[in-house]
Amino acid sequence: MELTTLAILFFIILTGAGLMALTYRTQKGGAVKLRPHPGYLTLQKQVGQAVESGQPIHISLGRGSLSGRANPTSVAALTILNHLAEGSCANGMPPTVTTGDGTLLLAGQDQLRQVYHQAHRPAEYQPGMVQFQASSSDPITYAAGTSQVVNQQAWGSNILIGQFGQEIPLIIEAGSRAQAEQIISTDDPIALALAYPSAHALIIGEEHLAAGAYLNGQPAQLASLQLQDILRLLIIIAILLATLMGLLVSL
Amino acid sequence: MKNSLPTAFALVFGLLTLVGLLLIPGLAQLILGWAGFLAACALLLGLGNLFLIHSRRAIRANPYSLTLIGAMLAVILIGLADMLALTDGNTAQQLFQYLQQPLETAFSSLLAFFLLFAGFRLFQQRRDRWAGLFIIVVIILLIPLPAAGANLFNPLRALISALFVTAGLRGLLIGIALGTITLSLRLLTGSERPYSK
Repeated sequence: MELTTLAILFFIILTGAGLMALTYRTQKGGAVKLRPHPGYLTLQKQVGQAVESGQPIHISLGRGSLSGRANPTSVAALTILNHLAEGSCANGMPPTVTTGDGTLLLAGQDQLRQVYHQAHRPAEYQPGMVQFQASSSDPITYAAGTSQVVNQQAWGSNILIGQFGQEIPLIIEAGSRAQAEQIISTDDPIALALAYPSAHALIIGEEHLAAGAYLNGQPAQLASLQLQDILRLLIIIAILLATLMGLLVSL
Repeated sequence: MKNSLPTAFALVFGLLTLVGLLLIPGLAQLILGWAGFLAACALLLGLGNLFLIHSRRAIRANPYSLTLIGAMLAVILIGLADMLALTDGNTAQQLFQYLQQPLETAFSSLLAFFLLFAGFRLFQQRRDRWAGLFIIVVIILLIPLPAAGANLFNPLRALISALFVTAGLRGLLIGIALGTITLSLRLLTGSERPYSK
């Protein structure tokens, strides 16, 4: 076995054990305090606002396939979708969901079907509530299709969650014209930079991946945030040590 | 049972893929090949979804949906004609080259204008320190154009780009990597189940 493979295995086992230990600690009542996040606070208000105003929510799940590298980004997007759909479907104000990937289409439809089933309203579910726009390899076509959906009616909120790229301003512009509240949650640095001027709330990078902890707060999700903090601290120490060693060698 | 079956299925294949990627590359390739096939099937279902939704709108004489359905059918027919050697075999490719690509490029070129308008809106709506900082940074980054006084800003621009932008981006990417690792671990241990509530 190669040294790199051994190192990766060691890292996975170590972090896996760390996650399990922290989850056990959280389950036993270990307190985990999350800092209030303006993006998630705004997101949680959207269902109530939609019900009050009578203007539904548009959610776009991006174009990151569940079978590729964007899997974690899209899983986090599905967590946010589930949270929003639970509230809005129970109040008879279902969201319209658009996506640029086939696997996300099926996962999104499944989420909405389950939410309606849990709300004891299975007959109200329609597969057309989740709409496929274009394949993930055609970002501009996906943005054009999604913009057209946003332009069709008055929306209370235009929520973009998942993997986006440089096509994001085209969808945001349609949301701005519709005067919808715009919430962007993605981990793509280019999309984040392009979305900043128009977004009412922005969920940036790793915060997007922490959606489960903020919205559901299950022990494993909270424990993984603690593990992230520990790993981050170790990385900071490693960077400082490496810099110090570099300086000493150069002297 | 109904809920635990997808979880068990996902756990077994997740762990098998991980083991395969590290120790048995052939196994990983096989499972990833299956995943790719399923993703292709999902894409076909997506196209079916697109066709059905726009067919309903086309019945109500929605011009965009009529155009989409017409274009979809035309491309399928041209593809079939290419396959059956009724054309020179290159018509579908030419259609993309001379119609789709220029349209996409034209649409992409609007990005700069959208960003400009967004910048104006930002300054109108949020006159706080962050909006001010954003506008200043954008102006400084756009200055490498050969204009009077540009040389004065070039060192500042280089400093912002090399120090603050690179450091910020690296911090963001390290955070994303850590988030990805912990989310992947949750998926592999079955504590995150987006497919089964």
